[in-house]
Amino acid sequence: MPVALVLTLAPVFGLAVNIAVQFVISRLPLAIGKVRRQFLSFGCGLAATALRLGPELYSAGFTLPDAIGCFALHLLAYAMAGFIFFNVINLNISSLRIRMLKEYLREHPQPLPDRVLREKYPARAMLDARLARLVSGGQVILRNGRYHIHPGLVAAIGHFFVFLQRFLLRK
Amino acid sequence: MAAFALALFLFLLALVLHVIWWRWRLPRHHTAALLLVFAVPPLLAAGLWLAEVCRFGLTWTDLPGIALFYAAATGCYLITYAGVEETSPSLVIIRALEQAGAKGCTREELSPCITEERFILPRLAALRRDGLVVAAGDGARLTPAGLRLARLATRLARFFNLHEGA
Repeated sequence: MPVALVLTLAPVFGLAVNIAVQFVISRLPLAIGKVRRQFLSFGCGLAATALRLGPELYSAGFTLPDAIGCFALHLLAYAMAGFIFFNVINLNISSLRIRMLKEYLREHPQPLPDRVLREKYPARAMLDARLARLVSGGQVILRNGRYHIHPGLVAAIGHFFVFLQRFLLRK
Repeated sequence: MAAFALALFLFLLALVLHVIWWRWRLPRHHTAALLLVFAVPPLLAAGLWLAEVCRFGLTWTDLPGIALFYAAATGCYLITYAGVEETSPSLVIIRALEQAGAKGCTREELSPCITEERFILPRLAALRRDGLVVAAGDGARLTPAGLRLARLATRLARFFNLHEGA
C-alpha cells in the first residue's frame, strides 16, 4: 500500500478505534462519567493513530523535519476529527434542539403542539439539570447552598467564547 | 513539513478572511457564509498547484493529508462557531458564576439566567427557520430534512447508549 495512503488512513483508523471503544464502554458498568468515557475512547484513538503513523514514518525514510511535520499533520487531523465526534455525542445528550426534534419524531407524522413542548421543557427543569451536570462534571462546585465556578479550563473556555461573541458578533 | 505548513496556512488564511468579513458586515446566513469562506483558500491553492503556478514543494502524495487536516479543522471551527452564535445555557450559568466572584450564586439567583424566552422559544423558532419543522395546527411537524436528522440522532443515541440530559 502506498505510504501516502497509509498515512492518510491512520487518522481514519484512529477515529474508528475511538468509535469502537466508545461503543463498548458505553455499555460497561464503569464508575466514570460520560465525559471521562469520551476522553478514554479519544485517548485510545490517539494512541492507535500514533502507533500507525510512527512505524510507517520510520520505515519510509522521511527526513526528520518531514517526519515531524507529517506526524503532526495526521495526528492533529485525528484530534480534530475526535473533537467533532466528541461534540456529536454531546449534542445528542444535551442539545435542546436535537431533543425537540426527537419529540417531533415520536409524534410524526402528526403535528406536535408548541404547548406540549414548552410544558415538557420548562426553564426551571433546564436550570436544575444543567446545574446537576456542571456539578457532577466538576466544572461547578456546590458549597453551603451556593454554586461556585471551578477555576481552570472551563472558566478559560467561557472567556474564550465571550471574547469570540464580542469580537465577531459584537454581542 | 511543507504539507503541514501549507495546511496550517490555508486554515489560518480562511480564519483571517472570516474575521475580515464578519467585522465588515455580519452575513445573513452564517453557516453558508462560513462554508464559502473556508472553501476559498483550498480551491485557490488547488488551482495554483494544478496550473503549476506554485507547487508549494508538494507532490500528489501530500494532498490527501492536507485535505484531511483542512476538512477536520473546518469541521472543528464550524462546531465551535455554533457555540458562539447560539449561547448555551451552561455558558450563561458559568458567566453568571464568574461575575458573582467568590460569593457564588444560589439556585434562585441563577434562575433569571435561564428563561423560556431566552432558550426555549428561540430554539423552537430556529427549528422552523432552518426548515427542520413546518407549522401545522397549533404546533409543527417534521419536514423531510428534520425527519432525517431526528432519525439519525435517535440511531446515534441507541448505538452509543446515550441518555438525554438538559
